[in-house]
Amino acid sequence: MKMYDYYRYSKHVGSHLRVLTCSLAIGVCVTLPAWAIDAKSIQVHGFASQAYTLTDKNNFFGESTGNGSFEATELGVNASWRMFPELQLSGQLLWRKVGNIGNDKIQFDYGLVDYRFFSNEQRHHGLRFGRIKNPLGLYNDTRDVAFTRPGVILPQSIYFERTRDLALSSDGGEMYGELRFAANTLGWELMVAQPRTSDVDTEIALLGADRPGHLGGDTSVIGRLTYDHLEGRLRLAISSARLNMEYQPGQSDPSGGGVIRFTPTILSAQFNSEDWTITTEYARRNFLFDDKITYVPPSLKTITGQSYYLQSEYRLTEKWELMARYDVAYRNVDDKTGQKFEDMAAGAIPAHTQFSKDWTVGVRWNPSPVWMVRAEQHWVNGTAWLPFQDNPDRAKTSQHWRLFTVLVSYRF
Amino acid sequence: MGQKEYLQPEDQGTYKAWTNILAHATEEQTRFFQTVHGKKTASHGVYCLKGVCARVSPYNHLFDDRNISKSFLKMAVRLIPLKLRKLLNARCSRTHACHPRNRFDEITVNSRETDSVLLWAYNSIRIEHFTKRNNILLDKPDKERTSNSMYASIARCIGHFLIIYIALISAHSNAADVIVNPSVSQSTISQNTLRAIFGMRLLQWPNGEPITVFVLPLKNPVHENFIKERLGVFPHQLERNWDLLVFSGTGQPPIRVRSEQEMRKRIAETPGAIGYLSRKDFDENVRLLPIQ
Repeated sequence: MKMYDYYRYSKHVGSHLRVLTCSLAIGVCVTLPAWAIDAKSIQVHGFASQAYTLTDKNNFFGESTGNGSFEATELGVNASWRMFPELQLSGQLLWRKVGNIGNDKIQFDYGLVDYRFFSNEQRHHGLRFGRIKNPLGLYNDTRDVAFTRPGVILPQSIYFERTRDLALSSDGGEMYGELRFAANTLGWELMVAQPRTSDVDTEIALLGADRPGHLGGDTSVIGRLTYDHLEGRLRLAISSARLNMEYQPGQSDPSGGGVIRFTPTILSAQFNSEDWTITTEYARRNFLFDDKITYVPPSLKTITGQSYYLQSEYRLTEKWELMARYDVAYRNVDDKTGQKFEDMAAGAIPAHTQFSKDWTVGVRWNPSPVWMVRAEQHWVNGTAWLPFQDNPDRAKTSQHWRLFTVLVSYRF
Repeated sequence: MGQKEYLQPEDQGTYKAWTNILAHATEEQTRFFQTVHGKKTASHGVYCLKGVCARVSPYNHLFDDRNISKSFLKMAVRLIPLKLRKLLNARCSRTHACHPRNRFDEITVNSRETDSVLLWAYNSIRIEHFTKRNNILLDKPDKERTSNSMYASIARCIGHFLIIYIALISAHSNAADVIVNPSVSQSTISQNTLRAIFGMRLLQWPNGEPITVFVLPLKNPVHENFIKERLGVFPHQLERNWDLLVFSGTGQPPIRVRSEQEMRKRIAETPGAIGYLSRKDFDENVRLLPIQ
């Protein structure tokens, strides 16, 4: 069997497995509510969100120019079973149709066994196995759940939509623990796993297009250290990852294969008062491409991206909240204006794809604890995080653009 | 007489009315007022002011007074919730504390708000009730009126005031208490441990028994008050942390119950359960767990 066929074969088996796990999980979810009535250790929760997006230029979440786009639907259902205080099983199914990002198949978002082998009033330690959400930053763990986001869309400088699969969850194991001293908590998570790179979007993001070969995940490490004062009155976190991937060239592939290493580091801080939530995060992202991969020009084999945002949320009343954010991303700290990049691409790809500065104001309305409506206006300079999937021809994108979006979300 | 120390009226006019009453109160009446105002309601007994008697029991409020008509009580019960709602709605806009549909017995107020409600109630009742019935105004005592009839009115007024006050503070002025199923062997709990339990981070009692946490709905004022006063955090922080657990598969949120009655019932029937109740309504089925 040739290499290419092998990969096709493994993809094929993978899709069958996925269908099987999905149908099993759906079966479990359908029968669960009946048990949940008397078994309080089993819980089923879920969410559904629909957004409308309107842009003056550039497409975001579907063809959002003109009359706008409704192509932003997120549905999720999860079940958890705490068999013993030490042991929990949980899993979540996710269906997402967001522009042309990702496929609109049901995905197995996470599914894990959580074993807490030591616990007392001062600390606990445990292990998790399975598909685990990547512990990155403040929002990555629950990025698809609109209720947990600070806006309709997350700060894109750090929580890119277009490489979401890579950041979302990984298959492997995780050690975690927590130390509690007085009103403070120190928590940590260390994960050794394979990133999910099966998605074609990762290939597009890292190699510029859907290449003939296969991009596979290698053993990677992700860690996060969190300091918490009074359940998040003040929360500080540092998270970092070393995501290893390998590109296997396909048939008649002009490029050779090799290793791609992505090393993001995120510093996070959040302050909560009764009415205010102030959040800021700073990230540096290092990319390293093997010399043999010719899809990436030599000068961009090692680049460092930089992102940061400052965001404030204000709870006006119990039903209304306001949000404002300034969000900045540079794809290459050595080329913040993108001029070098444009010169190198001989003008084919504009400079504004290398940075973005986004001013956002938003409002949130909670008609009831299970319903939420949000509206948000962005003024964006640059297209660093604009999804390629919605804008295949980057030469046709505009530097200055506006984005308006409304979201309705339900949870249970 | 030092009445300023225990009375903080909202406006000068009411204060003046109140000083007038106190100026005419006997030493016994002042002491009684101080006792009640100092929230020492746990002492049983029948307290009498001139012409008005009230029986005070620790947690239930009983009215035993021939001078207090049923119509007066009805009016008090009707008026006070209205004013409380007004007050709490004003507070709501700042702290998301309450819902207009809240029943009277679910409203929690602090002592300062109780003061102002009572002063208001006193004023309203005085105007609506006493002026009609007795044809007197207490904040401008008429020197020519016989002191006897004035004393009787003042005393009755104070008596009514106190009874309303007793009813209010015995039911509402304190944050909810921690309640556990009797299977829990701990005798006290620290605030930090309590926070870890309600944060769903500590899942077992020291003897290994699983902890089941019950909470009231987010917008319930008893919930808000408990989280703020007893745990020292804001409800929205806990909601966010619970969401993180639920939607990342790393934990479970507490179980929501609709009312305090349901809370009490569920805690009584679930070994290792913990929750809170605003009324001091304990027996062999649910136990108070004092915070250290």
